[in-house]
Amino acid sequence: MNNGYVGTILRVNLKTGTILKEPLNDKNADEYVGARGLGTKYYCDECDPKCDPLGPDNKLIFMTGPLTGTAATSAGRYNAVAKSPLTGTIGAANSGGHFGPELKYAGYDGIIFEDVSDHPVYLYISDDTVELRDATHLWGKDVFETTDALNEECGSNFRIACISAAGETGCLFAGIMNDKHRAAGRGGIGAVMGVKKLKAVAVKGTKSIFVAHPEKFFEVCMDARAKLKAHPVTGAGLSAYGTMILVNIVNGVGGMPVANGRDGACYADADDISGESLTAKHLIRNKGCFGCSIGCGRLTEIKSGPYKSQGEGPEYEAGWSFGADCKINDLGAVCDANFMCNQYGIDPITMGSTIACAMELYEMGAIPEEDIGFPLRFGDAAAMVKATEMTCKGEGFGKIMGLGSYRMAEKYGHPELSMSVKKQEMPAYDGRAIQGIGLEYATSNRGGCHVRGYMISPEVLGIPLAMDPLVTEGKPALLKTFQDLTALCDATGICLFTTFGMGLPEIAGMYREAVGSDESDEEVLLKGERIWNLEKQFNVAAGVEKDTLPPRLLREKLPNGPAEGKVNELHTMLKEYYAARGWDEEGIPTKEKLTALKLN
Amino acid sequence: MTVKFFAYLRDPDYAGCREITWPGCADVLQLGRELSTRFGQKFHDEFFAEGETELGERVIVMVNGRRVEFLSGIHTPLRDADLIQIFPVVAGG
Amino acid sequence: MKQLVIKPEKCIGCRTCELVCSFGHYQQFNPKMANVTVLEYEKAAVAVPIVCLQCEEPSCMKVCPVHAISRREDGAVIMNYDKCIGCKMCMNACPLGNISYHPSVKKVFKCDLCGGDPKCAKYCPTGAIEFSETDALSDHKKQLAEHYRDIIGEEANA
Repeated sequence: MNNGYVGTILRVNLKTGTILKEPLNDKNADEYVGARGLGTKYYCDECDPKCDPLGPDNKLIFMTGPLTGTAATSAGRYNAVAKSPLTGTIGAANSGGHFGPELKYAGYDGIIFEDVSDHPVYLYISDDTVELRDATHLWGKDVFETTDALNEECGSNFRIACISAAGETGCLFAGIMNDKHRAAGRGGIGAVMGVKKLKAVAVKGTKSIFVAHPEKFFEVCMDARAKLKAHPVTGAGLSAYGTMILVNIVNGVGGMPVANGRDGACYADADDISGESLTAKHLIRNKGCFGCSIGCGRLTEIKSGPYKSQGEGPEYEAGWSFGADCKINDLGAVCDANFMCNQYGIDPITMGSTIACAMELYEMGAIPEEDIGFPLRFGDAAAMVKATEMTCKGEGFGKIMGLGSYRMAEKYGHPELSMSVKKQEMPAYDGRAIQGIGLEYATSNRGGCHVRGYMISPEVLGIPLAMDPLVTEGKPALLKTFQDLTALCDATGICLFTTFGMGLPEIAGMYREAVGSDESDEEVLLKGERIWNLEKQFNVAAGVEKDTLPPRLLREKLPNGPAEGKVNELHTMLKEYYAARGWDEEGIPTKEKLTALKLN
Repeated sequence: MTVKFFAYLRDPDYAGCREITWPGCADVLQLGRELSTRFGQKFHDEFFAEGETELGERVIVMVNGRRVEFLSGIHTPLRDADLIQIFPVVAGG
Repeated sequence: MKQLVIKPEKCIGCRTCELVCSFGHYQQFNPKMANVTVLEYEKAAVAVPIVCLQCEEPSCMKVCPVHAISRREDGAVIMNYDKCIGCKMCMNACPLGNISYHPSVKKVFKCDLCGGDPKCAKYCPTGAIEFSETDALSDHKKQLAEHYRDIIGEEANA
């Protein structure tokens, strides 16, 4: 192949042990690009939307994009696609690091895992040699132990994606970890892998990726890289401070939820857990994913005290979830909890938010202390770290927290106190203080999520233009464009963070020169919209609940800060959003829209 | 009023501190000028676009949690009780 | 004379150098065909791009039985493929492992400084690889070598 793809999909039946190498479906690749888009297309063509996410009929698909592994900007990404056991929606989780490119160097655009194995296995891939190998000796091991063991067994130059005991035992927000610290984190895709008794994928490749117009491709890639380098955010800010730099500015607009959102969205101790503090006290060095010129990754260390530890991160979301959301200003404890999430392969957004929800329920007396085993109050760093550890290891009350905040809060009679949408926890921005992000949470195709249409960019950061976070005007239409562009970006295999410094012209440009297309920018963007509608179509068929927000965001006015008195005006925005999408008033894609997108 | 600085604006080349209490001044423009006198040219060039007609491209200024773009821009009036936060443009997520 | 100078303290381990190197020589993206390799030392928490240092007294040149390796005017130690018989003696002789073989290239290969404008240095996003005058840098290189020998020595030997 000379179009960015390498042309082969691996199909692995875990029940029979059959491994097939089939040619990539070119038509699907053209229409759905790759990674999140193409993985979802394969999934939707082959799986029943009503299937049990934790049953044998749920397939698990790893998919790269046409730009993955090339010199495009930050092109180290792959997606893991399956029906999410947490939300029941289509679940596509996106990860960086080095695993995705390596899969392509081995000669595969993606892997489709079918059915379940009757004993633990891992998939060994070394170029043309592909084998299911016994993983009984790895079962129960954490992410770091598994990765080390497989690097010992297969070779130090293999790239490993794996799950830990959390994924094996059905934690509903277990992710798939690759290169130890990088996560296909959200939606519990790791639990799907666990049910399949698939412990890991180990891959090494020595082959090449060819693109359609090499010289031109290289030129547009290097131009895009130069653009990112020249931009103050992607060229300097993100590499200097990492994503934790957001703590102070989001808190600055009064948009960082405190105590499960109960106490508003202004955290007095924000600076203690900020990117500035992390950089000054704990940073060892920056780390970049494959081919990345931004390098937002942090290698960090807590040098002493009860939380002495070393690892990667935390990212802003984890900084908030274990920090402000649990009212904890001890950065050491926050880092330690985050490192544990990496080690055990669970999503720190859902983890921290679930603990915050448990804290609120405990403080109001809804969860009895004997159920937890210790007092779980806001501000108690040791209790927060302990709760994280219990969930990582599936011990005691950790088993209940491992179901996520919605199922936990429902069990104790207060599902309304779960800060989730479609049972997935919303990230680190309050939808009352920042209206557009509330709409994004409500409409995201995988439940509460910020990286399907990152409205924080315009509403807080002023990128590409500043919009007032308190108003709703203009948000629905812009969100639609953001969501479509994000779907396209994810599908190509490059990192969403590149879009802070560049946009559609660069993404479409790299895509065209790689695959050899002469489509216009708009035609390329349409593929993003097609992906979005395909995901929505799946969710409708799966019977996913309607787009809404927790009652707290819709009815409880913010008690303090710049957005005091505000609730999210979802009702107004939703109507406009559906209209912008060409959907009916219930948010169902219309026949006309689907036809226009070649979706029926 | 209280003025807070973030990220590299805390470095010695710029404000050299996290926070400063500043005597009253009429508006953001005056505050920018006064702080520039105190912190020097580099701070000035970050804070203002050329000609001091608007804010620099790499800076975000909030008054009581509201970006000045949504108030009266560089002419946003200031009161003694105000909290002014000055950020470089940042992103993450 | 200009030489590639490595600054591991700036390296973020992104391997852009590997990509642009393989592309520059073969118009393909394939780190295994690159003349530069980033080694990650996990415990020491450093990443180091390993490139040919164009040695003063290159072992590869000495050991080549057919004299296929020579030094170009700009200092680059280069291969003459008209003479090379593919015996791979040079690969074994290089103490730093900077000569490679790849089945689809079907010959040994090493850094040729891209003919005088090395892409790895040009496109390294953090400045961890620089192409600079050697004289001014000898002190820096010496200090660096000692520093990294100490911190990664243990792990490399393990």
